[in-house]
Amino acid sequence: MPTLAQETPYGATSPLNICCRTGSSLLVAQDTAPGLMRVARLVAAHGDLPRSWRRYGVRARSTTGALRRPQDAATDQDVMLVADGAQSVGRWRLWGQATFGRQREDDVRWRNQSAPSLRSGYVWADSVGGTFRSDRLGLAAALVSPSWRGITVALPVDYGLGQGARREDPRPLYRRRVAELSPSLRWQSGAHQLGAGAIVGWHREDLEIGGGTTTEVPVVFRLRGIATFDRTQLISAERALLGGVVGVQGGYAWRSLKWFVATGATLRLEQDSVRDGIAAPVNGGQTRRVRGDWRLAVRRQSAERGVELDVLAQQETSRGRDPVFAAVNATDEGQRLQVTTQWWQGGVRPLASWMLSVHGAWHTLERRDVAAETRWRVTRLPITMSGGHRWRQADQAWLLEVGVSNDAVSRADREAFRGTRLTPILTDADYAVAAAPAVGGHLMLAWDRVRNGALASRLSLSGAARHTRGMLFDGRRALAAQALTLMVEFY
Amino acid sequence: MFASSFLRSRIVTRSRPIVATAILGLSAACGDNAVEVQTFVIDVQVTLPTTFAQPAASGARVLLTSTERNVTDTAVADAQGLARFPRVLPGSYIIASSLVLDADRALALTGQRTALTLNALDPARVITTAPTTPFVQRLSGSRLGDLVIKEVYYPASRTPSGGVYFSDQFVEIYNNATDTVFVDGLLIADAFGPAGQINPTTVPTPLQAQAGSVFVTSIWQIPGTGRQRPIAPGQSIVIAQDGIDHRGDANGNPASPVNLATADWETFNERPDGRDLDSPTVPNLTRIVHRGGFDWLLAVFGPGVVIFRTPNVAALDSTLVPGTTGTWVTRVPNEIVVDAFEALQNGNSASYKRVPAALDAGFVFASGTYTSESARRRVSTTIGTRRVLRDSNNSSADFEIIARPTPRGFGTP
Repeated sequence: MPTLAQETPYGATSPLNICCRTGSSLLVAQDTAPGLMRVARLVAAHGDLPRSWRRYGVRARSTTGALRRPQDAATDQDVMLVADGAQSVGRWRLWGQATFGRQREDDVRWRNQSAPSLRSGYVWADSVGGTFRSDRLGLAAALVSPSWRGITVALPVDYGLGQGARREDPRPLYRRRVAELSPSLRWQSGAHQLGAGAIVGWHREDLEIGGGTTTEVPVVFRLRGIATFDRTQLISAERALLGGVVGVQGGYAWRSLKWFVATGATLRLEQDSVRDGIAAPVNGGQTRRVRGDWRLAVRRQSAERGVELDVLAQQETSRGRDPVFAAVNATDEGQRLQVTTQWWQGGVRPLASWMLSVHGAWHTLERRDVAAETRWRVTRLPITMSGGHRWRQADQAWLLEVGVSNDAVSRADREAFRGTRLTPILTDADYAVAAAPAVGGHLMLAWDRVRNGALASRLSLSGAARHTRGMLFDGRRALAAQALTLMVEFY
Repeated sequence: MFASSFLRSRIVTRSRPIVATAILGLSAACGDNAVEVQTFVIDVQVTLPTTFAQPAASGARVLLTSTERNVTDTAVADAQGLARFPRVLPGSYIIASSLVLDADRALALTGQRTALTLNALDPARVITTAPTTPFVQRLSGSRLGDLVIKEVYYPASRTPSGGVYFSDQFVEIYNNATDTVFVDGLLIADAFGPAGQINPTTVPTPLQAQAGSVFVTSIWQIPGTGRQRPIAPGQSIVIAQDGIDHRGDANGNPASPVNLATADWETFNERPDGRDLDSPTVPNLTRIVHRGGFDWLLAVFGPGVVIFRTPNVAALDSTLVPGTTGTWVTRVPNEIVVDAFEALQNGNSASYKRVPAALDAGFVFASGTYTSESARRRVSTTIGTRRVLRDSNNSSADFEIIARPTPRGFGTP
């Protein structure tokens, strides 16, 4: 899928940097953060949790443009506050993070629930659309035990909750909660680290419509695939989406003075079950996803320069069991292989004077709707090149980063032998965006303050744009999307 | 893979702990996710009433309508009365069959030279696996009516400010015969029951099982001594809820699509509070029984409407709706019904049908409420200047939803 997410030397995610599921992954990452343990679930790296570290930040982001999927907002404005830090308590180490986000999505159509619910395949929708306003809160923590004969135990926990609503009838409202535990065990012998862990998660989204006015009896579509649906007029209704995840992960890391090698694999098995009604629940469909990924990250660095290679291979299969057909109707299958190389000189990341990054990927996605005899498949080959320079002036620095991207489409085909009314609206529209080759670019300007050789604060403004010359389903050409992000962080 | 297979709960209760919920959710998927949607061959055996000379309803038209997708496939029964649908998706279907017998064929089958329309309806057939035997549809029917319901404008309209307005509803009755018909004493009524799953707790009328009658809420009658109210062939009468120019009257709605100041009749519900408008230009129907609000409001979600004749309307039974303590309805036997119409909330609402299949084997539905749409009977043929309207006692086939009502007209709205 086309995205405005950036892979840049200064501002991007690295498998060796912090990330968490509750939403702060887009904030500037730090090498000092507890990275390996959580990113890509490279569980062999408990020991990388810093003894003392903290960060506060705020990010404001606005995304707009006609180059968007049919269930995306025309304008997406998001503000997020984040605070996180690590602390040693005796021989134990603790990391925690709290985030709060507020979002406004304008002109959201064909989706009456939160965007993550789209992964379930069973979605309430209407053609009217409107503006969603939502809040979300994320809490994450990780506790790492003291080492005993080289063995440490870690318990990372993620918890997130959010609520969003739309004023336009049928006034959809959702409340979403997510919780995930990923306990892991690490054994260290010299420079070698070996880890294994498990993932157990749960999520639930409660949906309501109605209760608004008596003048509207809106038509609500129940999407059951990329083209299959049924619809009805409803004054009020409730739906619950319940899901769980289990998984296993394993990893290995090796560290020397200059080298750091980590590899890990994760297998996740997820399922969402939808039920309509509360008093007398009715099966609304199930979606089962299996995702496996393998990651290898290699870094060689010194005080003055460094280079990093990050390879990710991912396979994901999703199958939706339809409540009416009592069989699998909606399937997605995707593969991704991506390679990112980064090079920096003149200091350690992210304080280096020069940075260069090349990100290339191959990914393919096939979506099917069996009943509608509809299928589309797209293979894309995006490549992004970025470069940046940082000017130091005593205890402050200016940073400029520029990147260009070319998102080519090597294969795209579609068939719809038993189309429905929603085939042109959803299936074809989504396919057209997915199959649209695009070019893009990004620019980031940042101002850093450095204290005692470490980053003390960063103020950054970045923009990104994508443009396609392809033709969308409705005949529109030359569409674009833009994102603008303002961010402040204190360490 | 990680989950045990001994628990297969598809609906997870809200009180289960997090871990158990996750494991249960995953276990539900195991084993069931290999089978993709497959199509079936469906055979429908259509038979004539047992009193007919032969059992096979050759030539019967069978409609298979998906209630989820609102897609209809059609097949015609062969000489053995068998209709085949070769590529049917699993799901919930309405199976409706109809057969029009002209006078000659009716004579051969029944001994009476009277044209007949026969119908059968299975309003909710869930098909999840390939059936091993044909579905059986036994036809029943009634004589073709001379008077037919030509148009029912029930969804009503919106005001310019977005409010709702339902006083502009009307029903139009048309003389589909070749001779003048007198409508003196003709009765019109609305069928009892909800039009669909309007609320989560809404259930179909419990009176569905009594298929020999239609149960009505209110009854109105055209006054007359017997030969005072003629309708010429191809002409019609309009019965308004309120007989005013809804677009121009101060009590109306400027956004209403109709002027009913020239309607033939209106349903004036005289009450002490005078809340119902009594148009000075339009005569009133006789109120036989009214069990509703301040006016005769047809359900905007979709009404069932019947016209019927009986020499003694007071003799019709009233009955208490099962499961209620004070909801009364009147039983109208199928035999006295001249014509029927049914609209429901949407394509999934077949199980909410209120009019028996012998009177009306189908239903129509508008795109929503207060849309200014209207349900109008299709024209079968035109003889000279007289339109002969389609009348197969099946609203699905006989009616279409049009964007704007056309009282006394057939033009493009």
